[in-house]
Amino acid sequence: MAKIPRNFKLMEELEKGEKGIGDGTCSYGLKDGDDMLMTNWNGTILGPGHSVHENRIYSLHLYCGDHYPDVPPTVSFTSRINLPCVNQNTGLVDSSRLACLSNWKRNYGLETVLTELRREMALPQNRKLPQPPEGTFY
Amino acid sequence: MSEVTVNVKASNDQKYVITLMTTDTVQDFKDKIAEKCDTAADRMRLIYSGRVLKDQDTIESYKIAEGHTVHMVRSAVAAASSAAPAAAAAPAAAPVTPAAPITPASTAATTTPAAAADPFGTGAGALPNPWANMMGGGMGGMGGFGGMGGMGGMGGGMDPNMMNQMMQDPNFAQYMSTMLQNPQVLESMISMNPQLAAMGPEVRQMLQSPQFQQMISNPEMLRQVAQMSQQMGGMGGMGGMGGMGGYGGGAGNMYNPWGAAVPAAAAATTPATTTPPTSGATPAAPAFNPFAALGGAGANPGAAGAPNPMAQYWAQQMAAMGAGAGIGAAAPVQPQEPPEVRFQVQLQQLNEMGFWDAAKNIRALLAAGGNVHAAIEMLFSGSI
Repeated sequence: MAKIPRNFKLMEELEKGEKGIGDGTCSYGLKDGDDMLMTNWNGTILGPGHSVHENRIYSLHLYCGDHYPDVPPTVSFTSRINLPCVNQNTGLVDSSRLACLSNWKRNYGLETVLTELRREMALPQNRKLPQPPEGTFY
Repeated sequence: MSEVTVNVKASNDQKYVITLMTTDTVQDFKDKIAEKCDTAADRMRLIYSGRVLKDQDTIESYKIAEGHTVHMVRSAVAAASSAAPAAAAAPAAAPVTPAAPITPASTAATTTPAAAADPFGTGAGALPNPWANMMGGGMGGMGGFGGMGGMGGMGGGMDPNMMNQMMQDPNFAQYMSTMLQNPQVLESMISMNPQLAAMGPEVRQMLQSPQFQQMISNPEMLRQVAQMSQQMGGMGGMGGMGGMGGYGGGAGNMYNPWGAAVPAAAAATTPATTTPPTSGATPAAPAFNPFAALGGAGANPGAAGAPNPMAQYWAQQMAAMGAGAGIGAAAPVQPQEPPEVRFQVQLQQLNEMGFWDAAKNIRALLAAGGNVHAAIEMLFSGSI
């Protein structure tokens, strides 16, 4: 099967992001619409209900390097969040601690990462973690 | 400068199509959404392409283009009061709700017979209920709906989102109107409600009048009711609404058909206490609330007490609607005997029990809607 080239895949993802995916719990788009290389992305995750994250909107930065999607994107939170897989000093998501990043597959996308992170927030062991005040950033 | 049409998706799956100038600010955008939905602009958060839109920025700066989708999220709301037990679904369960705050009651009060056929409630049961499935889950089932439809049953701790959703549902309005056009339903409603019956043929006209239908199917209107119930913290809501009924004269009768009381409770009296608008941190007092029982017989030392601002608000609302005035006029005038006369028997009972302060007794009885048991509780609690 032919491999989808990086830019084609990212174009597809961009369109999906602009058209809006699912119920709006995760959203993403280019940080700079003029960025022809589609390297830097913004993402938001709406905190899952019945958790400390409820009604919070978390902003993230996603970096798709030249080898994306052969290698996973680099993901970091810009909103402060207390999650085991997030470095508390930088907001960087530890690839080795998030299954979808450590076992990255080519057909994964930015949406996969965001929904996985959201799922992580809703896990029983994480959903009650004390959180820094909303609106604080790394 | 050009025009773009943008889809807005709300977190409750509602969709709105908004046309904007690219020079519009996000604030303008929110205002436009607010016209179409029931979320205030300042409570909206818009997300587009992974960014939370800032009010002062323009649509252009975010490069929102034709056909793109913006997600709308409501900002945090005060946690909805925990859903009350499914009162309507379980008539036997008379939830003892936390006592409502009651400030020194003024002497003015009216009684509204709580005679209400409940076309939606489980009590009547004969009618299809399109919302039954929506109401499932932790909502307390029909209790929740009784709450909504019925001003009567607002204490149900209705989930506000659910409520919004329901009100935006075009089926809701349609159902209401279909129901009212059905002579059979009307007949049963009227026959179950002595007060309506007493009003004679006008009542049919009234219920079928477009004005009335518009009013009850007006999401704005219903939303305000919902908001009021939220303000009340979900408790004492029923008493409060009952109070409104009295206040608004005919208004009460109009809404009673949607009340949650099942016929068993038809003879109950609604306490319609008016309290000064400062019902905040004053000591709580238990009071008899027939609506809370929703068909459960007997006294229910639960929530009552109607925070008055709402009653006033409601009355104003009615007046503003115009329809309120018209329909109100059609309703019979409430008997307005002085409380000493109305509560003669109860006062005597209180006297025999050793409550000598007549003024206090009257206040307590007014607040309790004539229920001696509840009045005594109030007197003991010292909040009267």
